[in-house]
Parts: sequence; structure tokens; C-alpha cells
Amino acid sequence: MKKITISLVFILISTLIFWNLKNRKIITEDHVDSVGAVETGLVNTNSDVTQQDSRESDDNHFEGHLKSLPTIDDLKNLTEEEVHHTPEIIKDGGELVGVIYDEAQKDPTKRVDAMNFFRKCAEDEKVAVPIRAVCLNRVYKLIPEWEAPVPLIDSKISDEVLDLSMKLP
Amino acid sequence: MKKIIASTLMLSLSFSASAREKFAGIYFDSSIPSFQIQILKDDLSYLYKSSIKDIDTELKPMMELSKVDGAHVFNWVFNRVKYIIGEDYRVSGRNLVTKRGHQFPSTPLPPSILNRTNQYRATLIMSNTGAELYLRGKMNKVLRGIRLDRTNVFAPSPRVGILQVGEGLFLERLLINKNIESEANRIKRLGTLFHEARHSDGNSEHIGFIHSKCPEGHALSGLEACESYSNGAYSIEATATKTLLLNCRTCSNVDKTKLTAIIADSLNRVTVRSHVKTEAQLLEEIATFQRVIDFYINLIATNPQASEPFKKELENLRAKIKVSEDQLAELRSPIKPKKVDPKPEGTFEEVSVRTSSSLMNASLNK
Repeated sequence: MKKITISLVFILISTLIFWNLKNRKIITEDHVDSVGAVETGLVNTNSDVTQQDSRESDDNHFEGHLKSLPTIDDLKNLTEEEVHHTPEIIKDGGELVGVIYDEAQKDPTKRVDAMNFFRKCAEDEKVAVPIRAVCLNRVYKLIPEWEAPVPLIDSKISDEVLDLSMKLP
Repeated sequence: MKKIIASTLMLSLSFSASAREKFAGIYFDSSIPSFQIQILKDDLSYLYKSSIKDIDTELKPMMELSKVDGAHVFNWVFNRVKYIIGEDYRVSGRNLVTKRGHQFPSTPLPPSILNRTNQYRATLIMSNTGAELYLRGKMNKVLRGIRLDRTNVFAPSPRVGILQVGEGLFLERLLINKNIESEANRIKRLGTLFHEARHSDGNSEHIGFIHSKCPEGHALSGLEACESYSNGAYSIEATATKTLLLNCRTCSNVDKTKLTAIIADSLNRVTVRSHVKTEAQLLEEIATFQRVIDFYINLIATNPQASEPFKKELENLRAKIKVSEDQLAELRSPIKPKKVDPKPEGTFEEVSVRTSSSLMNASLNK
């Protein structure tokens, strides 16, 4: 009886350790501030998602498109006439984000890459604020829908971007 | 062969020929290409017929509506948009008419208007010519107006509702998708219409809800493309676009994201802060400037004979530290964008929902 009890305790402890390590892997992957991620509740422990997340590679489908996003400097080069209504570059930026969203919506294998694209877009201080807000809005909307965890670095998201993203549909 | 010629003729006529006409009580000038008139008419019909189920909570108070449905929202637009002229219409020469002796309200003018040259004609997408005519008239104490269809239309209020539409509103590269008649493109154009319609409102220093310079730290810093009101043209555009988008039945994921970017851009123009720096950044900035100032003060004191260029630099640095200190003071006393009284000044007539609906229905039933 004693032996059985010891074995059961051993199995229980092993399971707990394994479970703990598995969760830690999800949090620390993608070299992201794990504290911020836990605080913002952006970590999903679903095992399918773990697989998806671990598949994030250097060969991100959408990485190259980050350079095409409109920047603050691009906006600064516009004239008053060009900015009275939404400038074309903002619409183009919205289109790029939309195309990536649409591709990943249709093909779930692209979701991790898409989420990482949205995260990098939202965190990039050089990108135009409205586009960063759209990206952040997509991150928050799609984490539960796609079950794709994308821990954000809080310090890289300004209040301005956060507030704006929360007002978007 | 005859058929081909006839079809070609019809097609070319439909794209080039234009004729003044009224639709839903709104006058469309012959200076607007007929295909643009048709699209605008369809946009207004779409708005009127919209069954708005999902509503942005800001919309009702912002537009001061008793009810949010197609008829009420169209009525809001109708009260602010009565005449639409084309891009080729020149508000000058024989088209520009004046009348002396008109008594304008004795309210102050917006301070920024005095330095402006042509506020509302800056864009080729759409502009509010009526508000511009009223403001210029009030400034020069002469009632201004334009000649439309051999009739003088004066602007005794920004509510005269004369909009000028440019080809930018219809250009493919500026559309949401390639189908100019798609729901997404209608929503985008209507958003612009709401924006310009709001310029028909306001009184005194915020007459026409005119834009203000974007603050330092904003990407559009220095350009007249922001507003400090919470119910101005950019806010209305964002809120109306959001509501229409929420009710869009045929918008694709790409359409939705593109429209969301437009909403984000509009909301990003509503700003009361003169900067976007954090308190820590400002404190660090002030400390840095102070160290350099101290250095120059010391340098000037020890080298009085070579102090002239340093004095100028010192002056520049003091100006910079002042800006940072002012920003810090503003940051420590937070303010939110204020809702201002949208009531337009001057003489105008408010049209009821019943009247605007019957005008629309009469046009739709033709």
C-alpha cells in the first residue's frame, strides 16, 4: 500500500512539473516579455496553439510586408491637401493588414505568422498610429477567435495606440 | 451596327453629359459628371434605406438624433447638404455673387481663419463651399453666394449646405475596392459626406467646425487636419462610418479592415494635447536642455568676448525648454475633447424628417 501511494505521489508530481514546463515554453517562446503577456491575459495554453506557436519560423509569410506599412515619416511628407481626408497611404496600409487577415482567416496555417505580423506592426513606433491601432485591434479580436497567443510588449504600445484600437469596430 | 453605335453613344453620353437635377430635394449642378451624380444619388438612397441595427453609442448624441434609422440619418445630412457642385465649378467671376447690407451675427470669428487663404477648397475629394462662403462673407461684411441655374444662392448661414465634389471621391485608387457601387465604397463616400456636412454646423469661434493645426508630436503636426472637439467633422465621419460598417452586409474582410483604417485615421485627428510625449520623456528632455543651458551660461560667463553665437543658441534652448515645460504642465492637468454647441449661426431653415423623407420617396418613386 505504501509503495502504491509513493508511486501515485511520484506520478502526480511528474505530471505537475511537465505541465508547468509546457506552459512556460508557450510564454517564453518568441522571446517576448512574458510578464506583460500574462498580465494582459494573452497567453493561451491550448495544446494545438502550442504546436502552431512553435511553428513560427524565420520564414514568416508576411514578414516582408512590414516594410510596406505607412510610417509616420511618410505622413510627414504629405501636403495639407493630401491629409484633409484620409490619405491614400493609410488606406493602402489598411488594405495590406486586411489582405493578411483575410489570407489567415481562410488558411489557418498562416495564423501564427499573421498574428506575429500584427504584433510587430502594433509595436513598431515608426508605423503610422492609425495602422498600429488597426493591427492592435486585430490582435485583441483574433486571439480568442483564432486561439493564437501573441504576447505583446506593453512598453511598446503607447496609450494613444491602445486607446485608439479600443474605439475601432 | 446601328445598335453598336447607339450603345456607344448612350454610354459616352452617360459618362460625359451632365444635367442639373434635384434628387431627394438636393440640387445636383450640371458641373458634376452624370456618372458621379448617379453614384451620389444611389449613395443617398442606400443611406435612406439602411436598416441600422448595430449602432455606435456615440452616434445618437453626437448627431443629436431622436432616433437612429435611415430616414433620420438622411434628414441629418439633408439639413446640411442642399446643393452639390462639381469640381469644375469655379467659385469666382460671374459665379460668385455678393449682396451688401446683410447683418451678420456679432459673434467672433475663429482666430485661425484670419490667416487662411482657402480652407474648404483644399481638397479635390469633397469640400464645404457653403461654410467657406459664409465665413468669407462674415469676415468682409458682405453676404456671399454663388450662381446656380440662373439663381443666386446666398450663404446667410454655414447651413446653406453647398458642397463641392471632386473626382477624388470616385477615383479607383482611393476606393475601398474596385466595384465603385459596392456597399463598402458607398460607406466610404458617405463617411466623407458626413464629414463635410458637419462643416455646415457650429457658431462663433467654432463656426463650421473648422479644423485646427495638428499638435506637436502628431504625425501631421502643423497641418490644419485635426480638431479639438469631440463632436466635430472627424468624429462624425468616424462614428457614422463605424455605424454603417457595423451594418454592412457585403463587406469583405479586406473592405472592413480598410474602412477600419479610415475610422482610426479620423479618430486620430481628434486631439487636445499639444504633444504625445510621456511625463518621463518630458522630464528627461527638460533635464537634458537644462544641462546644456547651464553649460552655455557658464561658457558665456567665462568667454564674454566670444559669446554672441552662444547667446543665440542659449535663446533657442530656452525656447525649447519652455515648450517642454508647457507640455508637462498640460500633461499634468488632463483635458478631454469638449463637445461644442453644433447649432449653426445665421438664418436657416430646419427641415423635418417627414419632409426630407417625402422628398426622398418622391425621387425614389419617379
